[in-house]
Amino acid sequence: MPLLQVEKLSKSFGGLLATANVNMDFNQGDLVGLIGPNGAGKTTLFNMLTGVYTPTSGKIIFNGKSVVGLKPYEITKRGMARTFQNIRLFSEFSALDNIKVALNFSCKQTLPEAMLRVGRYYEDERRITARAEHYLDIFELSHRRDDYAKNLSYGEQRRLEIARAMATEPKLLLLDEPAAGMNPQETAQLTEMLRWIREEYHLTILLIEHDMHLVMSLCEKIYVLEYGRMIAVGTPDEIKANERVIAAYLGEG
Amino acid sequence: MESNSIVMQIVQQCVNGIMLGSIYALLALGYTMVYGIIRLINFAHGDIFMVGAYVCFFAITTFHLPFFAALIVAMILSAALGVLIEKIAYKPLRNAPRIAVLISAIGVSLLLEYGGVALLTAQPRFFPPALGEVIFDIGGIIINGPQIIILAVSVVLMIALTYVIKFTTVGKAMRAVSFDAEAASLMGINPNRIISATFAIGSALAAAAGGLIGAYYNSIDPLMGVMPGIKAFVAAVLGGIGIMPGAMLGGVILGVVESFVSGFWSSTYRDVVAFAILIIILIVKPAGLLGKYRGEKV
Amino acid sequence: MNKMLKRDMFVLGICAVLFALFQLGFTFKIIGSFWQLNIILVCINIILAVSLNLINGYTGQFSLGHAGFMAIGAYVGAICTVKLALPLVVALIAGALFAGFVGLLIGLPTLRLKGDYLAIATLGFGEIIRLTVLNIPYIGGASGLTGIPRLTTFAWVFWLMILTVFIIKNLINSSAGRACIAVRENEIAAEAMGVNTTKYKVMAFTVGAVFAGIAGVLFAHYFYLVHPSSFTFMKSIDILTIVVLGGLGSMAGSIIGAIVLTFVSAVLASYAEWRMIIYAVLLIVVMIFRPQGLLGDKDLTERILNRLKGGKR
Repeated sequence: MPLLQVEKLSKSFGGLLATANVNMDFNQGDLVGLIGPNGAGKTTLFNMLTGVYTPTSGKIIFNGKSVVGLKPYEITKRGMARTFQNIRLFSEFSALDNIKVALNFSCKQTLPEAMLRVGRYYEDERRITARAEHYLDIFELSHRRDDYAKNLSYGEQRRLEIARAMATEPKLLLLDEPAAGMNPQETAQLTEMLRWIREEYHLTILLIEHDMHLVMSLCEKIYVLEYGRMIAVGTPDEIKANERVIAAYLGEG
Repeated sequence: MESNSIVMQIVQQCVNGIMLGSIYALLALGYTMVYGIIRLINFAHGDIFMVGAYVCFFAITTFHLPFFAALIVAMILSAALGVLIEKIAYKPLRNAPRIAVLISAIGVSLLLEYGGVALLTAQPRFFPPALGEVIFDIGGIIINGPQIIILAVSVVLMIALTYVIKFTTVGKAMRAVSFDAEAASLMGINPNRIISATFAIGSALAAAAGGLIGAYYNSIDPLMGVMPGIKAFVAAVLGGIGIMPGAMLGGVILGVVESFVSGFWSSTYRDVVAFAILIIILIVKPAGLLGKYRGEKV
Repeated sequence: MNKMLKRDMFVLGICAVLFALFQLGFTFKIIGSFWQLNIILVCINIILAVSLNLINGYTGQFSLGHAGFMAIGAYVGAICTVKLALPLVVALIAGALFAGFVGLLIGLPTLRLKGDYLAIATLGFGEIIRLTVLNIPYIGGASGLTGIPRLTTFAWVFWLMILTVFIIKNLINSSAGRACIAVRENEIAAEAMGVNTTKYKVMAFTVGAVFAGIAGVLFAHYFYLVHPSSFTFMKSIDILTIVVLGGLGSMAGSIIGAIVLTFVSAVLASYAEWRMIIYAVLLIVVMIFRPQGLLGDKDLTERILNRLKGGKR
C-alpha cells in the first residue's frame, strides 16, 4: 500500500486555480522530488498535504486514511512533518527548546503537575531534554544547544528546522526548499544527511527544490508541476529528457 | 386605540432608530476611514465627538454664533485636532507593530477624556436647544424637528463625503493609499498628506455628530464620547470595517436595533445590545456584512 | 532537580522573611495604614498583571477584557460570603472556578480571531460581563453589592500572590508553557509541529481568568463592597498599562510595574483625572520611545506586538 496517495487534488482561491487535478503516490522509503517553475503551486500542494489549506476537491490518503479536513497538528501526529520555505523557527527559543516544542505531543506531564512541579513533571522534562539533545546531536547542532535560534547561521537554522521536524517522529517528511540559500558544500552535506536519515529512520522524504543538482542526485522519483498541473513524473533521467519539462523551465519555443 | 398598536410602535422605533443610526453612521465613517487607511482602530475617535460638542457649545454660548456656524467651526477645529493627534501619537508608530499604535490610541483617548475633566470639570453642561422645538404628529407617530434636522445634516454630510471619495483627486488618492500605500506613493501620492486628510475628514464628521447630539440632548460632558465611540465602532465592524457603505449600513442597523431594544425591552439593556452585536459579528462573520476576511500567507 | 528545589527553598525563605517583616510592621503599627492598603493592592495587582501577561505576553493573545474575569471572581466570591455565609476559602475557590469557566466559554469562540479583532472581542466581552452584572438586582445591580466582610488579610494576598507567581512561572517552564510561547512566536510552525494551538490559547486564557478571579475575590473582601464601576474597560487598561510598562513577556517586569503603578495611583488618588492623564501619557510615551517597557526585550516585544498585524507571519 502506498504511504501517500493523492488523487485529483485541486485548490482554487476565488477565481484563481492554484492546483488542478494533481495525482501523486509513493511508498514508504521513497525519496521523491517536487519541482517546477516559481508559482507552479508546489507550496500550495504542501499546504494541502499538511492541512494548512483545505483542498477544493480531491483526495489525500496518508497511510491508508484520508487526511482531508484534519487540522495541521492532527496530521503531524499521524506522521507527516514539514519544514518551511521561509524558515519558521521559534526565534525566542534556544535550539534545544525549539526541538522540545516538537516533542510536546508526546509529553506525559499533566497541567496540574506542571503548574506545581510535582509527579511526572521532572521525569518528563528530563526525558524531553534527552530526546531533544539526541536530535541536536544527530544534526550536529549540539554545540548550539543553548543559543537563540535567531543567532544561528543560516545553514544551522535550516538544519535545526529539519531536526525539529524529525523530532515529531514522522513517517513522511516534507521539505520545502531545504537547500535554499546554501552554497554547494552545504548542499552536498545536506544531501548526505538526507540520505542518511532516510536509511536510519526508514523515512519517506518529499522535497520541493529549485537546486536541480540536489534533486537529480538525491531523488528517485520526481514530479513536475507547472501552473498547478502535474506535467511529468518519472526518474531523474526520464525527467531530464522530458520535453515538456524543458519547455516549462526555459519557456515555450 | 389604534395609535398604540404594535405597528405604530414599530414604526416609531424605526424613526427614532434612523435618527440615532445616522449619528452612529457619521461616527462610524470616521473609524472606518482611518482603519481603511492605516489599519488602526482609533480609540480616540469618540472623544473627538466630545471635543466637537464642546467647541460647538462654546461657539454658541461664548461667541454667540448661530448653530450651523458653530457646527462648522467645531468641524474645522476638530479636523485640526485630529490631524495634530495623528502627527504626534500615531505617525511615529507608523512602522511599529500595530498593537503599539492601538495602545497609543487608547492613551490619546484617555488623555482627551481626563484632560477634559481636568480642564472643564466632569459636570455636564447645559447645551442650549439650538435645533428648535417643533414636533410633528403624523398619525400617531411622533417626529420632532431636531430629529429631522439631524437626519438631514447627516445625509448631506454623507453625500458630500461620498462625492469627495468618488470624484475628487483627494478621494481617489485616499482610496489608493488604503489599498496599497507603497504603490500609491510610487504614483506620486504623498501618503502622509492623505492620511492627514483622512483624519481631518473623519474628525470633522465626528465633530458634527457631537454638535448635533449636544443640541439634541441638551447636555455635554467630557466622557460623553465613550459609549457613542464604542457603539460607532461596533457599527463600523458590523458593516465591515474599512468599507464606507458598511459604516453607514452598520450605523443605521445599530441605531434601529438599539431603539427597538430600548423601546420594547428595557433601556438598561441598550448598551449590552451593541456589545452583543459585536461579539456575534466577530464570531460569525468578522469581516462584517459587506466585507471580506483576508487570510494569512504560509 | 535538586538544584531547582534548593533554589525554591531559598526563594521561599526570602518570601517568608519579607512576609514576616511586613506583617510585624502592620501588627505593631510601625507601617501605617496608607502603606498597608497599598501593599495589599500591590499584591492584588501583581496577581492581575502576571495573569494578564500569561495571555498577552507569553501566548501573544491580546486581551482587553481582564477586568471582566476579576468582576466575576469578585461577585461570585461575594455571593458566597454575603449570601451564603461561606468562608473565604470557599469564596476563593468558587470565584476562581467561575472566572475560569467563563474564560473558557469566552475563549473558545473568540480565540479563533486574530490581532485587532481579538482585542475588540475581549473588550466587548468584558463590557458585557459588567453590563450584565449591572442589571442583576440580586447582586446589587447599579448600587453594587455591599456588606462584604473584610476577610482579606495581608497574609492571604501575599501568599496567594506568591502562589500565583509560582504556578505561572512553572507553567511557562513546562511543555504547556513552551507550547504557548511557540504559539506566540510562530503559530503556523507550532501547529505544524503537532501543537494544538487552539487548545493552548484557550488554556492560557482560562488560567489567566482563574487568577484574575482570585484577585477579584481578594479585592472584594478588602473593600467591603463590589460595584460594577470597579470593573470597567478602564480597569482592564490599568492592568494592561502595568504589563506594558513592565514589559510584555517579563514576569519580573509585571511585578515591578505593579509596584510602581500602584504607588503612582495611590499618590494621585485625590487627583483622579491627573492619574488618568499620567497613565495616558505613559502609554503613549512608552509605545513611542520604549515599547518593551522597563524589563522587556525589544526584539521579543516587537514580535509579540506584530501578532496584531493579523496575519503577516
